Amino acid sequence: MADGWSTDTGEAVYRSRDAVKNLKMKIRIQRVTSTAALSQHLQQQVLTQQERGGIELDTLNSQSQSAGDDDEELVVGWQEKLFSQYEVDLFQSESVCQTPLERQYHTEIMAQERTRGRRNRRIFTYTDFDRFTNWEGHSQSMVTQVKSNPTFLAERMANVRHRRQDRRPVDSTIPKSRLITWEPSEDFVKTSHVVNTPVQTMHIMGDLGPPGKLGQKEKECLLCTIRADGNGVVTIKPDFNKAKEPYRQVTLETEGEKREVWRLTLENVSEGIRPEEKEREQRMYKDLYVRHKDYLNSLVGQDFEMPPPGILRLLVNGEIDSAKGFEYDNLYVHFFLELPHNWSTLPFHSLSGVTQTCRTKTIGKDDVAFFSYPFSFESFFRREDETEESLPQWPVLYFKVLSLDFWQRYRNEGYGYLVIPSTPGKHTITCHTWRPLQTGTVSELRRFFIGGSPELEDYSYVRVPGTFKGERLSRFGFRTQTTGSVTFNLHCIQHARAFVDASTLKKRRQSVLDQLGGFSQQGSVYNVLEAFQRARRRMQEARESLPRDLINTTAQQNSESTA
Amino acid sequence: MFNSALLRALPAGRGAAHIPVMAELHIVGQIVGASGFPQSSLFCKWGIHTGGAWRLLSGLKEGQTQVDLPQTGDMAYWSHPIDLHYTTKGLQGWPKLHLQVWHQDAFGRCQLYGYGYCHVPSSPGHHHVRCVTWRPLGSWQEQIAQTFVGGGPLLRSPDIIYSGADRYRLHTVAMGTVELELSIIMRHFDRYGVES
Repeated sequence: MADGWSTDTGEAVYRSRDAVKNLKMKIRIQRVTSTAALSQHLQQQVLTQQERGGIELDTLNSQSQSAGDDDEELVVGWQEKLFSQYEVDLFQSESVCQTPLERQYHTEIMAQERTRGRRNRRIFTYTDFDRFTNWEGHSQSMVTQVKSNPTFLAERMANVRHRRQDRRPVDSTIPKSRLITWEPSEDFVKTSHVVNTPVQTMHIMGDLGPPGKLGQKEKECLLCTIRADGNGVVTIKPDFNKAKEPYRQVTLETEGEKREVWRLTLENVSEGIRPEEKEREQRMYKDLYVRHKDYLNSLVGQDFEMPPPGILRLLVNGEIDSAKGFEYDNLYVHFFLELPHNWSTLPFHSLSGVTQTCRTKTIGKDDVAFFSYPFSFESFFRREDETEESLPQWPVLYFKVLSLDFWQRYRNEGYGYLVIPSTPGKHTITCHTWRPLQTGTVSELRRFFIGGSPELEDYSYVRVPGTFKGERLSRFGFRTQTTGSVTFNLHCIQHARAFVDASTLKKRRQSVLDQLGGFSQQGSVYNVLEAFQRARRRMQEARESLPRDLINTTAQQNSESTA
Repeated sequence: MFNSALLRALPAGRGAAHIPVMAELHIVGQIVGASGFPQSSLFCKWGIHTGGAWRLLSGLKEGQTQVDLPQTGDMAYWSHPIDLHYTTKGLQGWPKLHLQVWHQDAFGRCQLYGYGYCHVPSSPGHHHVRCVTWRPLGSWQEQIAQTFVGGGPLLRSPDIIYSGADRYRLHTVAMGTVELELSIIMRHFDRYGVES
């Protein structure tokens, strides 16, 4: 045949917020015979020729619809039970009915026969309550084996599915007492060891026997399976194919009769939501969100504290984590922060601290002391001189490690420094330390027995002395000994008004300097804006005090002039 | 008369940016476990402490894990979930995490094994945080008693330790490490010009 088939019969998963009982599907099956194919071919030819004023279609149409038994189209709702010819024949007599469900079918069939007859001929359905749905998945094996028994797990899951027809409400509360069941019952074990999401299934079947001989159970073919669970997830196998090629449904081969090919088309005809309902729903959601936002705003307030314009605020949250590799025990760290020239801080803000004294423990080959001492400070940077092209200097953290032992001997264990990183984010930095040495044995003996040691007078000597004003720093002649290392965790945050502009204008920020470089321009613009706002406010106040008729006449004059 | 065209000519966004949204911070993660302690039957009491500008919108800001006794290895695993949603109007008082690791022995007695304090990371993303712990030391008589009977000095009130001003008075000993995995999500901070 010239027309193509769709071979993709995989599952399609849909999600719906509406109840699944509103689902409606249109199914069409059509037998493929030679006359049908010919008429369709002719129809296609004619359609292409119709632009040129071709043959009328009426004659061809009547031919294709002559065989009514080979073509059926039906709209099926969710869990709508349609009886097959086989079932109608079976449940005619009351004696066959064993379960209440079958008796109900019997009454329904009788009622149907009395009134207007069946809506369907070949297409029928198996709903969730029929025996077929529970049996079908269980007995079919997934692999091609001559004889395959379902595994233990498959049997258990089939039993569970069969049992959980009623959807139990899922309780989300955690019991406060009796968390553990020490003696689980068989039932409990079964339900909690296997997956049991309650799913409602519906099968749409087609009786594809030869025309006039419907009602044979062997000729039933599964056309479509719909599964819906309680969360609005609907799985349809195979998927809707209204606009695409139809599916190919082949009947089973029986003795003496050849296989037949049918064309299957599925279409979704569920009603969409009405526009006024949709609008109402959207209004409700918008209302809810606005109210939630107002509630959030009322909790904290809308103002975020901002630094003054042109100033960069650096916030460092950090902790002194640990120290390792030092000579003596009972270590503590004394640190302070040095702010360079253009930096300032809030008054009464302490920039130094002392940790607790910690006895070390041995991890591997090192003696480690844990401090876990959090500190946080903030400082402000303001570029004073714009013509200066040098990079800004960042604050430096100087620290000193000391040991104080049981005999109250106090020793200097090492000096170190740490430059606060200029990029925001998390930094874990390990700094190595050294301590100054004096030549000769006297100082070492003193350090061992009594505990004094030489110390630096100016701590900034560790990095660059504050009094240094040359080009080359020389430390020639200064003797030190390497001691251990201290680990810091720093979280740096930078905050400035200039960053707001960059993000709103969507510019790529090159560096802090470029942004802050034009602060004076920003400052002047800001000043102009402020002045304008003040003047406008004054004007408005003055205007309010004027008598009413004066204002009206001026407005009229304005409108006349622009007309 | 002033007309509004003058206002439009000036660039928008300069100066104060009054955007009516608030900065929000999500802390999502777990306390994975602890290792390096003398004994392994451990549980942890944790909490998060913030400054005055912060408001907790949802989540529990303190809790206690279960007691875990590992059969092999040294690390006790808790996998205790942390899920917090804060909103703030200032950067000061960034959330700090405080932990207390306790040991429960076979007789059901609990003794303190360590205090730990660390800041919650301030950059968005996934962070592996290792918080070290220490325990206060008593006199040498108390230490000998501790090896036999257990117990030991505790902090009178753990809150004074947040600021760090009084820490120098303590004499402590290093204990083990607590591992956490935290994912930080920050919302609307960039509208206020915060880079982190």
